[in-house]
Amino acid sequence: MVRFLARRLAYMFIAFLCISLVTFMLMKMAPGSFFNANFQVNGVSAVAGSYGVSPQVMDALIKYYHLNDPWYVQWWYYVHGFLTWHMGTSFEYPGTRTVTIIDTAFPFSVRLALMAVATGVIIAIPIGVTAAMRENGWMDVGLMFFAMLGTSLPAYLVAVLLIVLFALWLHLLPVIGFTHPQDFILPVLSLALPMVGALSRYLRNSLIDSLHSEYVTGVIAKGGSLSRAVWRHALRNSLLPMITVVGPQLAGLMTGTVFIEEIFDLPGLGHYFVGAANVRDYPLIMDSALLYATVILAMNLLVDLTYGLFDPRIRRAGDLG
Amino acid sequence: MAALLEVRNLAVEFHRDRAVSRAVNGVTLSVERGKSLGIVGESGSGKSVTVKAIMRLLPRYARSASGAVLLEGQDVMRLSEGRMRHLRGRRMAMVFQDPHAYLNPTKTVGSQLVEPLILHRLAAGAEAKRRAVDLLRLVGIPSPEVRFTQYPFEFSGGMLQRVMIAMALIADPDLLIADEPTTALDVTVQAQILRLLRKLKEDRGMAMILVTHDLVVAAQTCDEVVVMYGGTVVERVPSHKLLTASAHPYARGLIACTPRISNADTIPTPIAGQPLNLREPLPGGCLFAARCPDRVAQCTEVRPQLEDVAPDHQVACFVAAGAAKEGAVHE
Repeated sequence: MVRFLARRLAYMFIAFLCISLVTFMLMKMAPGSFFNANFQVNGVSAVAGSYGVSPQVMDALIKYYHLNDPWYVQWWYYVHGFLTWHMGTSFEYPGTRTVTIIDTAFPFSVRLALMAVATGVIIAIPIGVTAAMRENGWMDVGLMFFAMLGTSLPAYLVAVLLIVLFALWLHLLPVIGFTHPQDFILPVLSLALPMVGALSRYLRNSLIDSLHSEYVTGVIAKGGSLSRAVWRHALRNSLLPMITVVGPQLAGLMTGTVFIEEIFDLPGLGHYFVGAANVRDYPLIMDSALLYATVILAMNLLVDLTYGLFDPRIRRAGDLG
Repeated sequence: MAALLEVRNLAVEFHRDRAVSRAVNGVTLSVERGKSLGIVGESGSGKSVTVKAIMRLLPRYARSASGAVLLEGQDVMRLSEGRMRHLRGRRMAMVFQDPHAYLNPTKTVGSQLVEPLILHRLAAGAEAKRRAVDLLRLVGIPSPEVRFTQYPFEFSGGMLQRVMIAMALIADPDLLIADEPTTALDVTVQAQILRLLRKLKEDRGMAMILVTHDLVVAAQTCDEVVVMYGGTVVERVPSHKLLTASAHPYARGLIACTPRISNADTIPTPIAGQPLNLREPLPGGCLFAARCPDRVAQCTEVRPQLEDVAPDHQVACFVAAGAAKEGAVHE
């Protein structure tokens, strides 16, 4: 188990470095930079003039952000800063360290993501189970038709539909705000509903596979009902493939959901992330990209570890290793 | 004595992808309390489908077209699924061919073993565990308390088959159906399992149906044997006569191609031709006619029915039945 973990962590670190390198290259290759984003005129003094600061200050800024150093030095400053959690300050929000931005926005995004995924899973399980138990029946076909519709609808469209229904027509729920619990209902549903489509289809298929396996016949032969076979036996084994899908999805939501944040005016990470990319805010781009990479990598590790929780064969094999 | 289980003219068809496969075409058999019946036949002869149909464990695309399965006079084919559940595991229980496939890999053996007790509200908690551990000991599993908490993958095939047998017996069924219980096991383990099954059957006074493709196993383990071909019963014979005095040409063919130590120098002769293709419409006459060495004109026209050739010995063959009648006349 320890060896498995050590090897996985080593791979993760290598992947992390590769991602940081690629992000850095792409970022540098994108035309323009923060300090001359809108200026084609060369020379520090010209840019400085346009900002209304003296060339000396501009020089100091460039030095402070290591913009004149070789690329690998710049790259290493970002990576080192991220790894030690001593990140630089943002270009866009001068005086604000990127770690502060992440500190405030990330927990919010994580909370939103967890609520959305939990809601999605909770809705998807009964749908998937109902469909699987009536394989190819009208209930199955009907539910899977709606699931397909759900999958095809993007979150922002769902958000707009929900706003129209619950806020404009029924006046039941608020659209803007993030302080009261009811403020979260619409954003969470907007994120959860499109997920329900994919998850319930996935669960249905893997549950049907399980229900066709011999051990389910074994349960029936003992006098068990189909629903016992599902809830006590097959469902647990079918959740395993679903975890593989849910993990990365959760990671994606945790690092911000631009559309939903914009629609509901929420202070999530996606907002800063996209803003940073638009204005070439190098430190914030790097740090948010690295955070994204870390969350995805950690999530994949977590998914693999969860496998052991669900499958005793992996767990016991781990005990030996 | 009335039979515990009586199957009358059972037929099962599989409808899939617009193709029909006629797996069982009129099987009649019966088992009395405390007796054991062997069902033998080659692969595809419908023996496994027959016993699964008795337990109503066939997939949904299987249609039991006709016939009756009477458990103490009650037709289980006409029971609701809820009533059927009360019978499965309690009145009749099943041991399957591949124990590793028929147990949930992610639950402990113990939790699956006590399930029939819980499902039929016979016992729960510590009492269920005590009974399960006792039964594990009875079927010959060392350190049953430890084994109770282990997972199926931690067992060998033979040990896991003992668990399956314990699981089938835990609710004290009247009828135990063993569907090729030793096919997946090696020969030494096979003998142990069969001995165990025979002993348990005798100690508990239950009836047993043993499905096997091995005639010697059937003859040694059971009181009576039915031979199946093409989803029909072609012979019903007391087991002591199976190897020496079977009358149907197919049964004799099976015996001729079974290698045995007692006649080690004779080379087994295979039965000519191919098994019946059950996806095509069935031939009008005897299903075995195309491969039969003793075929007469009548065989391809009329389907022979089971006829008595001796006490407790019936054959579905014109030639064999005719010979027996002649023999009786001469005596």
